[in-house]
Amino acid sequence: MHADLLPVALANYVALSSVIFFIGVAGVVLRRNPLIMLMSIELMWNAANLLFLAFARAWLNNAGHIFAFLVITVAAAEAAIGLAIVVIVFRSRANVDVDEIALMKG
Amino acid sequence: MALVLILLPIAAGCALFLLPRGERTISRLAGSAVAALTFVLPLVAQNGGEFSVRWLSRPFTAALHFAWTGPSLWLVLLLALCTYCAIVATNTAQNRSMIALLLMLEGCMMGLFTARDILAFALFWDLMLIPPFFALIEWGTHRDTAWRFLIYNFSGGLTLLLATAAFGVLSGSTDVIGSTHQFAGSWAPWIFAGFAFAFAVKTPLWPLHTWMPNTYAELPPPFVAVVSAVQSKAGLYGFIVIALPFLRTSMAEWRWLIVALALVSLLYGAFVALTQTDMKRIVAYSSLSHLGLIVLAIVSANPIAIKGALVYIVAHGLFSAALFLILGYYEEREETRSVLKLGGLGAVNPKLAGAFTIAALAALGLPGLAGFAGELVILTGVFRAGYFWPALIALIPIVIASAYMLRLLQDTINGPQLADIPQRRDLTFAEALAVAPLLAALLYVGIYPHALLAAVMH
Amino acid sequence: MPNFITHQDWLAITPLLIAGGGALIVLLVDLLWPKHSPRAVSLAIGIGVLLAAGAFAATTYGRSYNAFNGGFMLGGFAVVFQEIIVLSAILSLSLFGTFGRDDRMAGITALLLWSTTGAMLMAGAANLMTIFLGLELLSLALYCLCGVADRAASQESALKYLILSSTASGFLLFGMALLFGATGSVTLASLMLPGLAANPLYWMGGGFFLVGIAFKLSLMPFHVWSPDVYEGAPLPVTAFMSVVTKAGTLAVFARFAYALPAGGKLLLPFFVIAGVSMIGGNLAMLAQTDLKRLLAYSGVAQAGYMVAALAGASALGMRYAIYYLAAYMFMNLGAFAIVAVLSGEREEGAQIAAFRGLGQRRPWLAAAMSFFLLALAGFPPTAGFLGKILILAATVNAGYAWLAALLIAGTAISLYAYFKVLRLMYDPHDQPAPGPRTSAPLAYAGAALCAAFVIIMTFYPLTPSNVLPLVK
Repeated sequence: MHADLLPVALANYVALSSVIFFIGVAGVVLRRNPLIMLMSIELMWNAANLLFLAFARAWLNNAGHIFAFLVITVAAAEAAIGLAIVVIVFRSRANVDVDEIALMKG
Repeated sequence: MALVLILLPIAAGCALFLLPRGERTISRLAGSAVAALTFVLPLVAQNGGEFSVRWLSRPFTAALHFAWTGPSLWLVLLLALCTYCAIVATNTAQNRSMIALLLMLEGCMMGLFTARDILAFALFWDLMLIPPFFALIEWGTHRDTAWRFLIYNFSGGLTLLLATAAFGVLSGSTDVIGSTHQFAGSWAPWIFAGFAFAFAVKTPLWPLHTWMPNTYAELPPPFVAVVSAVQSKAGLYGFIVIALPFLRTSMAEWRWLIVALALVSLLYGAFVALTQTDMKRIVAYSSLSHLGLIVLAIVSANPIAIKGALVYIVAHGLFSAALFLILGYYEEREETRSVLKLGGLGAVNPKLAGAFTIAALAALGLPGLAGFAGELVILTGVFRAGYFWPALIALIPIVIASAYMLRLLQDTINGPQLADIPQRRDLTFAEALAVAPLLAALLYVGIYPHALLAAVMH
Repeated sequence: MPNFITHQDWLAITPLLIAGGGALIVLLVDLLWPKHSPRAVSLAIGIGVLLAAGAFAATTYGRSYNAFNGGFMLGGFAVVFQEIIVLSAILSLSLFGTFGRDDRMAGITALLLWSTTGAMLMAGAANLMTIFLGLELLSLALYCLCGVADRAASQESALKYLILSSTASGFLLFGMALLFGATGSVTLASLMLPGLAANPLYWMGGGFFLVGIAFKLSLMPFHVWSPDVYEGAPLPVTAFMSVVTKAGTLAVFARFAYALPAGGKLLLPFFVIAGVSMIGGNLAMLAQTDLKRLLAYSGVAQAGYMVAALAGASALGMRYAIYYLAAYMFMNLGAFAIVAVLSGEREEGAQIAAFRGLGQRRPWLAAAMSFFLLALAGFPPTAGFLGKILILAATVNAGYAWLAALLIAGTAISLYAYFKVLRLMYDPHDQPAPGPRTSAPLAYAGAALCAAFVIIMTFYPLTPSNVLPLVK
């Protein structure tokens, strides 16, 4: 690991992204609005992105940067499809609370 | 050749399904012809009809290896004979489906008895459950009987599968039936336990027998004749060709348990048979008792007892098939299986009563019939093996067998003729054709058991 | 190590390019056709493209090549997985003969082809980036496919799948980031470095990664999405994802598992989860009244069996996992094909009650369904039987006898669920349920093909040699 970035600083990044990640998890678990849930998922993915960038710096390995770009691209596609699906569901039933979307019970 | 023996009945069974649903005559003729052919084939073909192709080379070697030699030959002949008789005796509106299933059952069990590879044995072990299962769904009266039959026997099949896998991995090959090499190691007792559980369910041994009485009572007579006469021998055959040659030392570790269960089965089957009023159930419980005796013979591991076991396996197959077929005739005529509602039938249909008497006397071990020869040799062997008390206890059910078999005869054939029973026809030619070979074989083996013993010696 | 992309690299991913590019052709034809292209045209192009991709992939069998600097591994099991994925895509596509609106068929075909491309990428992916890319390509197309039917349940299933699957991708991604932090490299080969065991990032990253994998494989307790999504999605899509997501994810898991230092402790909880799935999945099957849900829970258990084969990371285990996956593909897709034959657009055939009295109504269909159900239960003479014994042998051999015992127990439980359907089909006391008389020649052909392979595989158990995942 490169000496520039002290382990302490790196630990901060890990801690921060972990916090963001679990905020995202909590959002998915606790909130019932699909839009908020999609946002929480974005949080989880971006927590991973942050981590990739931090480690890319620490290892001086560009792969982390590339990975982050890849994730951003995929996340954009994901958001597009996600919103489209939410719109379809919304059209057919005029509300988007997942508790009410319960034709099927897991 | 052995492959023909397996595939011919299965293919014929499938072909019968192409006939129209209500067809009766062609299926019966074709079915009995195929069954007769499978009886003749092993007698004329040379070299035990050996067939072998490589199946697996990893993680253990296995082969689709079939042949009939030694004890296999007798079971193959017994199976072909019983199937033939059962098909001839089939006489219902659904002849086509029943005969097709009987032929498939025969093919599957041919595979089991001729398999020289434990994996092939396991394959046919599970496969032979399917025809009786569909027969129970189609003709059984209670919905749960089919389920109980399947789950008990399939559980046995699964432990067999696990034991086979472990055996294969540890010994390197499953293509071993017919050879003898002792399999040792810390896993051996557990592998034996896996095999023994499957065999004990199939035989059945107390307390794993609870699927058996209902299954036997609800299967149509031709089916139960084959299942009780031959399919129940699969477990005993497994003990003889797998447990004895490879896992004898492990068997010795479990011997106390198996001897105890066999004795309980002997006594329990006999006593319960005394209390039953349903004719088929009386014979079903008597089977439990008789097969317990064979298990006792096998675990004693005495050569004489094992010879006796083989004779008795054939004998029991013959008389239980005959008994179930004859009970089927009675059931068809009188529309009841309860001995309480029958009586004095001997005067009405003497020929049928005569056949019934011969089969029942064989079952209770009358000298001169096959049952006696088997019992005598078994008891001698078990006694020689040093099992004084088990041999002595095993005598009790033999005495009780006389009681329940004679009571069965007494209540149906003899006694006062019950007033509300209408006149029925006697044994027809076709029915006689189905039972006669079984009774003839009973006499032959009873008078000249040496023929069987000599063949088994190889 | 050359840093530029060569001709060889492109050759390695040509099957993917064929499948992905074929989707564009399907769309283009639809665009140029007056109004919309007919259903048969889209399906024919789709199947043709898949056949071409499969044929091209087959030519690379046995060749070992490390394309894109380790991003995509040719050789090892990649080709075998690709063939399984292509074949199940073809079989699922053939079920679309009776489902879906005509004017959407081009889009559906294209999405299915892209999804297949993603799974094929996963089959060869050997670094974290390509794994993620393949997985997302597979999943994104599948979200859309789940929602293509005009039913509320279908749209719901799309939303559910989207949210739960993206959450799982989040776990996977976070795990990947941590693993990158632990090794400083995105290649799986770097997991073989010594001294990783001392690094907490490695344990955390591996844990998150495996949670994501367990979710995608629908192992208990991460299976909650699968019954709902299977039930809501259009039948051919359910058939497709039941096999293809498992195939792709299993390939990724295998590459990961075989890269870890032998006997990686990291994997032990994963095998425990596989054991839980075998029991729990089969138990949950008992309560189902919808055949798609039943097959979803069956899939949970079967995924458990496949993972169990990999316990101990032996070469034989890998072969048997592949064998069982192929067997599962044929058994499962065969059963789905029968359901498709019995279903109209509303998917009546997916209700277990629709099978009442099928033995009298349509005896050959009933016989075929019984065959597939018995195969799933592990009865001979089917590949399900031989696959189970091979997995048992592999687990016993690898010293995981407890997994073998759980497999046996789970199978015994599963029998009752399959038995319920069997009894319903043949019980003479019941009146037959009415059903549509559909004619679906493609589905019939698919079912026949599956049945034939289920039997053939039993007696000619060709497991491809040289399938060890290469992770260099």
